[in-house]
Amino acid sequence: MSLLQQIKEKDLLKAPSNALQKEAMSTFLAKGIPSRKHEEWKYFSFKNTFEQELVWADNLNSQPPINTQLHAIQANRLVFINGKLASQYSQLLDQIPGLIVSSIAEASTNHSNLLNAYFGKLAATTNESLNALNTAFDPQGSFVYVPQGAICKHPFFIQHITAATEQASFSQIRNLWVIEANAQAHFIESYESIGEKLSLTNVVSEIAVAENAVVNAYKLQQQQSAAQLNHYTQINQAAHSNVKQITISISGAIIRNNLHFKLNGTAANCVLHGLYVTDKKRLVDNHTRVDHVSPHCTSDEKYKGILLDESTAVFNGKIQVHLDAQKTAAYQRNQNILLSDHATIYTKPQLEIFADDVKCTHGATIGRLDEKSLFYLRSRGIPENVAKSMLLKAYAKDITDLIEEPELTQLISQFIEDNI
Amino acid sequence: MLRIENLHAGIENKNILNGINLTIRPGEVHAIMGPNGAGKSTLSSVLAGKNEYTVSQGKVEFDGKDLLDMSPEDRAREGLFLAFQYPVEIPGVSNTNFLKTAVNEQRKYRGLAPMEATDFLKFMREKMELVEMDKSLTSRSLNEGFSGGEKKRNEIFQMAMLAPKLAILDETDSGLDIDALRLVSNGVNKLRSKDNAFVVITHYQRLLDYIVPDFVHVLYKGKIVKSGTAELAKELEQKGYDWIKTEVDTQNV
Repeated sequence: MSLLQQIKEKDLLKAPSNALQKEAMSTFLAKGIPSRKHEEWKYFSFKNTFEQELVWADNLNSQPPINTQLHAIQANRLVFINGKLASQYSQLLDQIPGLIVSSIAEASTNHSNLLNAYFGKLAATTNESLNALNTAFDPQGSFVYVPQGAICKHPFFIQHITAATEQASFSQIRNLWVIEANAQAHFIESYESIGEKLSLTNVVSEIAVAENAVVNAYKLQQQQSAAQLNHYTQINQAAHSNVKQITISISGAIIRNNLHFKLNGTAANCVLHGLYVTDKKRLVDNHTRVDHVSPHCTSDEKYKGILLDESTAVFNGKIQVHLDAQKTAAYQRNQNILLSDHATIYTKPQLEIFADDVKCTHGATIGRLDEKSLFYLRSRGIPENVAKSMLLKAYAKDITDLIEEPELTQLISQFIEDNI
Repeated sequence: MLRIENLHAGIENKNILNGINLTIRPGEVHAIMGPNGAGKSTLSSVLAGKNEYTVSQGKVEFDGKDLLDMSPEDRAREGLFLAFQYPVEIPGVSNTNFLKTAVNEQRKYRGLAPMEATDFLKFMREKMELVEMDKSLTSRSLNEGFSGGEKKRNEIFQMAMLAPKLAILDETDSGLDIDALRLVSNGVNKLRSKDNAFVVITHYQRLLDYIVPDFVHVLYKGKIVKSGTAELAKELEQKGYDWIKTEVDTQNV
């Protein structure tokens, strides 16, 4: 049975009491899977994947061995396999009164009022049918609540593993993180898969950042060669808050990111940087959107790509400066290095400015590795492949330097070294 | 050590070198002089292996091996070094890491184990003193934001670290003030030995007051048209290149 058919049947088996889920399902059915005719989905569609016979991961019982390389990081750790919390791998280091770190399922029992105050309130479902699909079923994933003024010493490491060892599989993940006023928290998310079978993971993250809070979030996407990932992230920021989101996409068949920021309070600042490395026939599509709703906010966006073989990357960066958002400073850059004649990059900056006293810049570049630099290194006896990887690591450095987790930075440079 | 025979080379169908013959033995310093456009930089680029140049005729032997058949990195690992006229800036690659990679890649080629970190730093400090290189430059990105003089000194420093058999200095003196010129020349003189050789490419005789050559060659229209001793350089400084040009051009008529 096709995945789409399974979704419809599963929906019929649900208790019809949940209004949010019911509405989301009807949105999903009305909108369907976005096709390439949709402006935001011009370069590929998940339509074909939904026609395949993917098994809903709820029905899989496997507990495969997982990659624990990043467990070396001292962190509050939550590990999910096909959306289910694997408590044997999870741990909590920071004992802070009021701090909640749990699965969403657990939170819906123990902290339902808190959960319901945010859940589904940040991420749009009306125009986003895959978000609607995610919302239409019981959520699985992480819930982190950082109370007012809490300074979390250790990062929150949230590892999501999709297992597709025996059968092609589909899973949905939901993350809800609430960082209250004056609190500080760091997050590391890793999206991984196990097995060579086709998989699709549909993720929705909602992050609410209250006044004067500081959040650093590093997202690592490293899936197997047949794995597809759709990740929609909505981050809402109150006044004087600071958020840094770094998105590193290094492997997997298809990665589609929608990263949306809403700067709701004055003087909120966000940094959204990304690095994508694509090879073979893989595709990485980064759609970002920053809504400058309030005045005196800044957004600093930089995405860098390295493309090999016949791979494709898409960058679409939308910055919307609303009427009241005076004194906005918004910077956007997208840089790409193509290492093959058959790789393709589609890059599109999109600025919509309704305020009249703002500073906005954008720029996109597409190029090759600098021949002169390459020759210089080789002329000192450094072999061509080593020289290339040195130059690419240097190119990626202004993104990776922002990651204040040495283990993670090391993993990324190792990846570049091994794969290029 | 190096034997260039009847070398013809050019770029995009344009011939620049029209039959160069030159033999260099260990312990020798050769200066190559000549007017603008004579082919001096083309010669150094062809020897270092820049791929935009094509060799149409002739051969180059380096220690008995066919140099033109080797990749740029193999030429370096066989002991050839080019001090660039315009060293490139490479942001994000630290000077130290770059040198460590270069030294260890060359050691690997010669079947030696990589240097330990502490040994390497000690070795680097020694060579830095030898060429009077400012310590702060090594922790920065490769040549990034270096002044013209600092870039040239960094070239000499790299040469000291890599200890090549044959070093080609491509207009290393251009853009240097007198003090920087003296520092660079002192560095070269300290590295001179009976086992290595230098090719110094320059416009001006000035550099040759500090680095005294055994032979001076004049390159004109892609050929060596005159060879002599250090005296020839002095004569050129006084009389300019015109008398040689006239001499060569009348012979060709």
